[in-house]
Amino acid sequence: MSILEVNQLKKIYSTRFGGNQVEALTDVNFSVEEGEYIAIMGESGSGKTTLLNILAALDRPTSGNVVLDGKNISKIGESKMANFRRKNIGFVFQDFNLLDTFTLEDNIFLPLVLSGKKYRDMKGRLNPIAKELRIEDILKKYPYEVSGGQKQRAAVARAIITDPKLVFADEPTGALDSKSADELLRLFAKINRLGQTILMVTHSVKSASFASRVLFIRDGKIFHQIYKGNDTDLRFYEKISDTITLLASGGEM
Amino acid sequence: MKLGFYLKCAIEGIKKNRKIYIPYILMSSVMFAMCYIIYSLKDSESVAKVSLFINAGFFPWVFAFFSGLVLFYTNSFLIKRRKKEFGLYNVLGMNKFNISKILFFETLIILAIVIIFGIIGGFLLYKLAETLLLSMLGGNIDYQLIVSSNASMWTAIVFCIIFVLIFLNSLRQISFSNAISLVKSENFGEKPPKSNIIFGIIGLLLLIFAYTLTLTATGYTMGYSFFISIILVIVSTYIIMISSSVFICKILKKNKPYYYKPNHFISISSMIYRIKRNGAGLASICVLLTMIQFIISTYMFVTFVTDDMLKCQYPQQNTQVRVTEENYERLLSGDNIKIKRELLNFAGENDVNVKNYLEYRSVSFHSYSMPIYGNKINMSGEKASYSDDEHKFIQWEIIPIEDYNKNMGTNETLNHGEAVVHMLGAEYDKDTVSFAWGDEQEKTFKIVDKQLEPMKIDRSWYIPKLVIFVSDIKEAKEIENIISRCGGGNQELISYGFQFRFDIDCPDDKTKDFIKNLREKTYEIYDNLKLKGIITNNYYQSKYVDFKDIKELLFLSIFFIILFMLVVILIMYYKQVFEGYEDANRFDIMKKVGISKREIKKSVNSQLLLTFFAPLILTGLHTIFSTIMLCRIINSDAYHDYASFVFVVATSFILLSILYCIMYKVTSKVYYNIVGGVNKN
Repeated sequence: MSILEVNQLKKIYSTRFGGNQVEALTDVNFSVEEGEYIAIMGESGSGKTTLLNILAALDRPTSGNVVLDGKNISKIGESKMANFRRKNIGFVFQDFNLLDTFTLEDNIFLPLVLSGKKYRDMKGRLNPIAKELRIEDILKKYPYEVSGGQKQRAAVARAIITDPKLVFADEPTGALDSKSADELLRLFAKINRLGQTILMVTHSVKSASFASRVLFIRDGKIFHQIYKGNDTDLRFYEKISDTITLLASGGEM
Repeated sequence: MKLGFYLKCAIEGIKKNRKIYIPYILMSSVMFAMCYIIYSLKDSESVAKVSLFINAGFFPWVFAFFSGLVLFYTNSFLIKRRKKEFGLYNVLGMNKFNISKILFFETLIILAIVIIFGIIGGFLLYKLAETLLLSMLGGNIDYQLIVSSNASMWTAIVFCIIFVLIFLNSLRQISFSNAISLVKSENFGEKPPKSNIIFGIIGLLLLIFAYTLTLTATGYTMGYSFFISIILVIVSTYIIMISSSVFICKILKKNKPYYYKPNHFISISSMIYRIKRNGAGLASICVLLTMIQFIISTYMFVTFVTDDMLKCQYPQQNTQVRVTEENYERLLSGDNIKIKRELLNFAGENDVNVKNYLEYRSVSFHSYSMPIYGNKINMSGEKASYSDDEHKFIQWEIIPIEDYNKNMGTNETLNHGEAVVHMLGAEYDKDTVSFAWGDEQEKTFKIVDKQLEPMKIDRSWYIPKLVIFVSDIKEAKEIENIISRCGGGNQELISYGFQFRFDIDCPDDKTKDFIKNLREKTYEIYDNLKLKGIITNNYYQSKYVDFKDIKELLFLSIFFIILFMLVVILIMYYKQVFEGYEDANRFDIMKKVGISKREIKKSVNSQLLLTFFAPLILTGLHTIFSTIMLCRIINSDAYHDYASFVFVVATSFILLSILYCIMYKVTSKVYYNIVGGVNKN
């Protein structure tokens, strides 16, 4: 059963005084099955981030709808939306978005605390995750005291601690060195194998090659998609790379 | 052309930072206007006739100094916030000299605006200030409108000096840092503040000590102790605000079930940072509010006590003439009739009605530490017992019963050695009263239980008084003989003579002249009759002339209240603006994690409320103790109306709190605008 359905999504930005209109998304349709690991690729300006923001209900589409786990998220009111997002969606950002006033542990607890969970429950949930992500020793540290890779792992922990239906990742390796990036990608793959559905936006071929399916977006439309199937990471990497070259040279699929 | 470019940069710089520069410019202008007004008052002829402090001329300098101090610190704070901007200019290839040119033009533009606004504002408000001052001091108000060129020049020059210093300080701030650190200056990874428990405890102990001092200080050390406690309160406010509030947040954080609650979680963790960064600012707000409240309380205190004091001093008759005469024979000879006639004739000549006429002979003196030993008042001091209770002045007045009868129209008699005691705020519950000088002389009176309607006799407002009626003037004289033996300083306190008291009844405008003439007249009587001494007092004289200087000080303190208020507003405003910018990012993150606008607002509200109302609460506490302190200064049975004094102080505190809340409401709008604005993107 598909966990996320995107139907005829359209987003038009207009300047404040209604002057120029920019069409960020023209017509986006796709669906995500439970347990999938999807990468959305595209150049900058192709509408990736707009799409992600709409999927995560941080932004509203001009038309079309997004159905997450059978619920149309455009129909959920602002006050319920926060609650909905907290329970169903995990978010990993390029620039970590950890709060500098919290320890890593408290940062990870943030969505649970907002849902009114008890400290003991939260601790119980955190322990296995922290072990998996190898951040047990740095939980009491503040974001400025740890490396980028560690910060991002803490952010991943925050995203998955609520046991969300879907984890969105926006260029999660963008601010990391290659070693930390590789480590993080392996981590995502591992989480995915454990059953977590992941939707990642990236323009790094390397990142995309870890996914099970790659969607290509151009000029506000889903232009093409390829499945990994039984390919190795390396083989899939080449496939993606070829596709991008083709797309860049303006070819039609 | 080049200079034109820098000028443009400067204008842009101010425009871009208008959120922080508009309040700064406005405040500078108001300060300019106030300096201008104070200086003009000094120059005003009608003010010169009645004022004491303003004439002295140092006050404009004092005020300019404080204004300069405030502006200097505000500006250095603003420049610190703009370091990033200047760092960017530097990275883009401007050297520090170029940047200093921009800064120079910025300072120049601001100064020009301030001078223009300041002179206009000063001119408009000057007449108001002058009218207020003259009506307080009773001068002649004229309605001419003039711009004082002297004052404009002086204020302009003083502000030029202030702004030159401000400019130099900005240069210093810019030049001590390199480009990268300028760009990054806002992004330092922040360590969570360390709580210094020892400091916190010291602060708390200091505060408790200061409060205890206001509660326990007695006697002569009172003023001194109160002064110390005021200093201690200020110091401890700073220490507590800075250190122990972090400490309290940390304790709350340790309490896991409490900390991990949706509204406490965000509040407490960011409060720690907020308080650390703003501890000094919050403490300043608290100290300034306390000072404002203290000035207001003191004003209330003075007006209340003045009136009460005068009511004490003039229990019935508004005019007193007190004649001191040591020649005992003259007291019997009828000189009093001569004096009375002169006074009444004089009043008649001036068309002034005299009512409630009262005249008596008396011996009056003061004693320190009520030297009562058993039931003996021993002025030699040898046998005096000093307990804390007796540690105060007592005023005595010995009046022959015949003089009482004459005034009250009664026919009471007392035998030799008998006395009736009337107590005015003093306590004396013995059967007899003895006056002694060591063991040598002693005069003992048996106290008779006779109900006499009290004569309305004056007393010093804070000194209790015992009035003793004796059988005749001879016995009064005997007491005087004993008392006068103690010699030295006390001798001067003994007055022996006549008291004349009456109400003058004439139109208000005539009163002033009459009092002045009456004074001349009494000196004439004094010369003609060759008396030892004569004193004239008058209620109106005391009220409108003798307390004039206090009123002038109060008028001047209004300027300081305005100044303090402005500083409070400025601190609040800048806190809101800069916290807004810092928090905007934070709330953006939280929104992505899943927090609704309503929850954000709730958390922000509870934080802002706590940070802004902590100073108000502490101010309230300080005010309670300063009120106790003032009440203890009154510490007299003459003053009974503590309740209405407390009521007025409480009312003024409530008004101040409301004003503070309004300021908070207005400035927090700025905060919400900033936080909400970023969220929209």
